[in-house]
Amino acid sequence: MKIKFKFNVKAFLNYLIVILFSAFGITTILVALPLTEKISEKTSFNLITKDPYYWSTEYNLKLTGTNPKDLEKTRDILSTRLKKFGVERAKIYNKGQDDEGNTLLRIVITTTKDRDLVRELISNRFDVSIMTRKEDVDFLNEEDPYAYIFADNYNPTDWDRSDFRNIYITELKTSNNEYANFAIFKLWPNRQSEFNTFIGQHKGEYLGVSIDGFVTPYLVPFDDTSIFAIPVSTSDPIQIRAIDILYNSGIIPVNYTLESEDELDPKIIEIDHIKVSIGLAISLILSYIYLALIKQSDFEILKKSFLATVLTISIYLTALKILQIPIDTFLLPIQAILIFILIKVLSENDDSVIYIESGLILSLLIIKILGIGYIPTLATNLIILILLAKLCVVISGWYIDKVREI
Amino acid sequence: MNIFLSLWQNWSNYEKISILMMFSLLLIILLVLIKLITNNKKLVFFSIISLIVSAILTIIFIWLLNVVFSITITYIFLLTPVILLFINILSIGTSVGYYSLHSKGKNFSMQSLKREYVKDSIQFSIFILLLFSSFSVFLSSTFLIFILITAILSLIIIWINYIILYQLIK
Repeated sequence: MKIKFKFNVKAFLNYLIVILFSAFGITTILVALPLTEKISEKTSFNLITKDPYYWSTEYNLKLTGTNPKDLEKTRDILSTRLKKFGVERAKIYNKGQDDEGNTLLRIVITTTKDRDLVRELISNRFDVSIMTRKEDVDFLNEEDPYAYIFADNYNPTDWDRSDFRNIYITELKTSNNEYANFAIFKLWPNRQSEFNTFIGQHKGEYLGVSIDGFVTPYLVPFDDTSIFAIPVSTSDPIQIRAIDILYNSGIIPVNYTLESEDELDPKIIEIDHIKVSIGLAISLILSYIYLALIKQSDFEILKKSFLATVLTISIYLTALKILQIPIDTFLLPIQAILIFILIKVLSENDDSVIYIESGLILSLLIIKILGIGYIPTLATNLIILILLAKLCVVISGWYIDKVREI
Repeated sequence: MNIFLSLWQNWSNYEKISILMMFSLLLIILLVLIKLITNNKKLVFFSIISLIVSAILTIIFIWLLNVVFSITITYIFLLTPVILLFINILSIGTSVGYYSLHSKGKNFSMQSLKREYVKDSIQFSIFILLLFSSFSVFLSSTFLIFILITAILSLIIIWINYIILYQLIK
């Protein structure tokens, strides 16, 4: 007796793909749901919120002089520094003048960024200049081992930060054949030959790079003088980022001191993300049920749109939970609602998808670059979600077709 | 107007220039895109008015909230213009997409664009209304006010867009 065994490879693969995809979908939904972090003790499925990491401090600065232009420039540079470092909220208020003719600035910071580094960004003028050693100072005196650090022991030169277009921090090989970070001073092209002459006059000598009165020595080599670089005393990427910002955010025109700093209560909008997640899920389901009942939309489109929405939000939340990315809870519902609306519009208007998506991504890129406060964070998250939504709309259409075939 | 003056004075030049550049660039780039896609003066004009009106409405609403209802305008309200721009791009984008695909067809008329826009706007409004209203039940205080204002403004902008389109295409 012969047994005929019919095996349809295509149908089998279809089944397999649909089963795998369903399993993936269900897993992401389970991980994304609130409180499912309690299903496993081995893996953490907690949504990390930024709320407990917020701190707020008021810094009071005293600026020498009352020139309004200097004041505005100082405010601009401090704003630039704080924005580049990703400080969520920074307000710089002009408090007027004191009796001694100094200008007072009040800076209020509310952020989750490193407290010490934010303080460094505010309290340092970062006045960079190149100096030569004073001949009458004994830098080898064992009784004064720190003589080389203080700017008073050096003669000023005409060279300062304004002669360099950029100071680039990168890893370079040291004489020990190890890698360390250096700040490379890149000159304006019109100053290059003059600087070469200056360096040529000091071959084999120690120069000093003064930053706010503290000097880093630089031994001018005899042979290759094409790179002017001083060591950066850290390998921590966040500290290097802060140093890079201090070097490259503009030249503060006046001296200033940090007079006082007071801790404040960080006033942030705290949202119970579990309650909000339940709220969003209920509102999404209710909206789709209502749309299906009033028959304003085609049922097939509603199915595709609903599946794409659930998938997009689930994958996004799952990624946040697994990768332990901290998030501002109040931004979550805003992003979710906008993506619900976007997916619904994209599913209904096949003819407009490319225009809507390109218009949105282009606009959000501009907003990300030029926005202030939480606006760039919202824009970045929305760009990610739009791309994810696009993928999920395609996958949902494909999945529904495959299920129908089976 | 004290609220806007104080906001403006407390911003550094860097922040003022960034925000002005952001909105100017958005306006220019979106209009150039619409011009390139549709090459239709009426649609470009419709988009200019729509974007400007949504900006003015946002300012008026925030002012009303502060002056009439004595609600403190916190940092979160800075997100309202971005959300409204998002909604506006969706609203304008549907008509631009419909026009670019159907404008060369035999049966196309600007009246059909108007009909399509009404259909889209009704669906859009129902969805926004349902979503925001059912979600609002779970919120309180400042965030609730922010969500409600943003929802109301979104709906107003969708229907102001319809009025503008209706006036331009008669």
